[in-house]
Amino acid sequence: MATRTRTRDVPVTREIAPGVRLHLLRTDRFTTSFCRVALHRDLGAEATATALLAQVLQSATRRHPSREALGHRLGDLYGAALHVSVGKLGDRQLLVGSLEWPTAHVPRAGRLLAEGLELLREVWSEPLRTTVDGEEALDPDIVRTEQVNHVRALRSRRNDKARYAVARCLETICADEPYGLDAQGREEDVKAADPVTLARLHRRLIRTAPIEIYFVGNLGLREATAAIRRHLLWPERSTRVRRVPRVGSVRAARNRPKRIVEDDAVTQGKLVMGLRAPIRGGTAAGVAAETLAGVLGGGSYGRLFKIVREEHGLCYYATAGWHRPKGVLLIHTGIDPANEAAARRLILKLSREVAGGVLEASALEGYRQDIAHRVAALEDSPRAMVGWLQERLALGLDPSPRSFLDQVMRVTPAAVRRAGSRLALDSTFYLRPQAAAGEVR
Amino acid sequence: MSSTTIARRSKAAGFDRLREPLTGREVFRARAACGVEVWVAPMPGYRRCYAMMTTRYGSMDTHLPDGTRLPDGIAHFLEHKMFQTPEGDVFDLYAKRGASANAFTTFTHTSYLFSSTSRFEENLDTLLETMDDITTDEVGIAREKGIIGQELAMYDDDPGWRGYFNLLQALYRRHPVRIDIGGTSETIAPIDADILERAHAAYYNPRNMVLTAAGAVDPAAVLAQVDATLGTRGRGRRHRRRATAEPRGVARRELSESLSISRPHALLGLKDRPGRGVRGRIRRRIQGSMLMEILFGDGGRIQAPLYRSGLVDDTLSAGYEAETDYAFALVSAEVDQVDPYRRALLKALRAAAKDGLTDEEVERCRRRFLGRHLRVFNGPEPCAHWMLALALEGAEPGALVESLRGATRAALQRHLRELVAAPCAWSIVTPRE
Repeated sequence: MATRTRTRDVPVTREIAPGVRLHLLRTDRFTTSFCRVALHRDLGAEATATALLAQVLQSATRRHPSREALGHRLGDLYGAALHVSVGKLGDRQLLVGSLEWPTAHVPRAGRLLAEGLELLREVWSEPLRTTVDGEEALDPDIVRTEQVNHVRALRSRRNDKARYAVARCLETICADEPYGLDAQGREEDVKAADPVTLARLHRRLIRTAPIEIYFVGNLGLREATAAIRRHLLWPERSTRVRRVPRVGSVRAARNRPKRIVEDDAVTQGKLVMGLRAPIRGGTAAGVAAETLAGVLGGGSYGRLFKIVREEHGLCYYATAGWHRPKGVLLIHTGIDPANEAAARRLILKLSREVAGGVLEASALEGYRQDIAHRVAALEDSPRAMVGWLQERLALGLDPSPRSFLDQVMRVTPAAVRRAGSRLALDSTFYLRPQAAAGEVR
Repeated sequence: MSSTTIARRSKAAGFDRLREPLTGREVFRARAACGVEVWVAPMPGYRRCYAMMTTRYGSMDTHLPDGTRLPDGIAHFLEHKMFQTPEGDVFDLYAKRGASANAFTTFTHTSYLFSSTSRFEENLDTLLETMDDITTDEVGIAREKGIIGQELAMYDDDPGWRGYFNLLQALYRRHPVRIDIGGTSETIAPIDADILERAHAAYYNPRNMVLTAAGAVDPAAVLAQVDATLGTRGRGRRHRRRATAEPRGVARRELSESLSISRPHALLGLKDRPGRGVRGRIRRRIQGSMLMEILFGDGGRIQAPLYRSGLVDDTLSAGYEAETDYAFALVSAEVDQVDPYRRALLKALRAAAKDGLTDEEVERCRRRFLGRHLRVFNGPEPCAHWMLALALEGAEPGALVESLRGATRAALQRHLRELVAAPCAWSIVTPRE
């Protein structure tokens, strides 16, 4: 039997309830359906409680009141993958819950779409509740367990040295901005996120937070809207939707670059350099800045890979990336501590060259081709497509990958030079090896 | 041939047309004239093509066929060097065409791959040509030692990686699975052009290689291109790794290392015996994986109570790995206190072996595995990797479904009892004071 393929890869967006938008990507390419529900909110004082809420929501529901029961239900749905978490998108915090589950090629496939959506609704809107001192509360045992786990998770961020170094550099660059805060929040705020506080927060968020729903599967707009309304949307929505801050906010680099060095008992040093410019994402200057980052360190064609790694053999990896919502260029490498100064000088020299509009032809071509490939490949991955849409729509940019590609293709060395002239070093973070690596006993 | 796989010969194209039983999707398999085994899965509607060339040569191949001992880490070193040609870096060729290229080395094989949305034929040419020759200038080799040295240093700080290889060193006395895939700075130091060329000549030949391609690809065109690029004369021979006579007992009961981490990582390894023959091996691997899922999956028999007690959190994970001459189950977690966790885990394992499994647990696990398997067709990349696993195993596309059907409660219980009684070892990574 040949596989019949019908694809509608242009997303269709509809407001299906106050503050609730459905983005539909119709395709029969995949063997599973994918649905993501994202609640947008400010990234601030309630960041920790919101992160904890994510953990509590995926622990149990009214109908599946334990991890066993919920786990068993996911197993019954042919290993449906449920994931509830928080992330940050510019100056917003996102509370995201998604489900990916088979809806074809298995027995009872016709009923699985509705059953999956209903489970996702349960997870979002029917957490296990009780009352504490006459007030509604989320299940105290679950909250207590997840409070402990959350503290553990916050402390373990340092275990992944590369991620830790990047986070510390961003935290330094955006010290007085929401983006400087970790989406998982802070250890000192965990205790205050008690069962009553979390129940209030949950009720408020599901009633008033703006919601984006992404559905990737083989449904037309009418069927998808009906299915989402019937099986996923919860009734307790307010008509007054809470306003959320803009995703993007940019500013110039600080006057005197800051350098932070932390010692750690590691073998390899991690060097992260953050440059900044008041350039908004998606503008012509923003796309030129992205090109600058790509030519510098977007892949194996980039100058960092070619010069720092291949020519000088100073590192295994050296990358550069542009943080669109914040106008930040982040350069990251893992190095032998003996080479830190040399690597830092070389990276800065290459950054200045590229920012000055000196674009090695092969690197520019490599970047353009890389973007063309990524844009085309977006259609092949539901998660990648949804991630792309989520950021573009939140930034108020054209969601069409093709139009972004057109913008990239039009970037000239002069445009890169103009963007580069606004870019300056803001902060450097160096995780410095303090002692030899661990001894095996 | 599996009863669940329909195979017929498509003489015109030279392919066996195989059908995956769950989805009915077709997979094409052929032996090219030069000896390369070719697997192709056309995936209508996909924009991407993903192709991967694999040699049956990995870190466990510690000797040349003539008995020469190879330096630990040389398979991985060779992987790095294969991207360099007299004309320059192969990455540049891929980058010019917008393809994304990479490579990786495992215990048993080394794979080179690219993903592209255009100019597939040119990229495939590059992939095939790259395998045929090696450039070994001493300056490049010396530079590569610095780069790989930094890669190894990165892993030295990774508690997951260190814990895993310490566990293998504790579990195995002689088997080369205990050797770190990348070797160490010391073991790669003596690598020179001569030994790289000899390793390349021995293991990078068409009869020892597998090409898998999935996505927007045409099987006949792929096969024709292999013939055109690699020629039609059969070359080399397939490498068959000699089994290592590994004692039943473990090398050490426990191995510890301290790293800069927030709390201990504890890994338990249960040294299993591998299944015999292709079917037996697949069956045992799937049963072992099912057991780990039933016990340690989300809401699992052991996971749920340990999670509720606070002894573990969502860092608890488990897996099962098996090759022709080794097999082991692995349970890993980050914990606050190692000893109470160890006692609770071992007690729970013994209880599970004694109490047995329920039909519901087995059926639910079977569903989970079917659902996971379906995701193979959610992209060219997972599909190409699935075909590679089949090719290396010598299995058919219906192998998983067939093994899942054969995994009865009684068989799983028997396997669980054996696992719990098997020699075991611990690897503990502790926070540095």
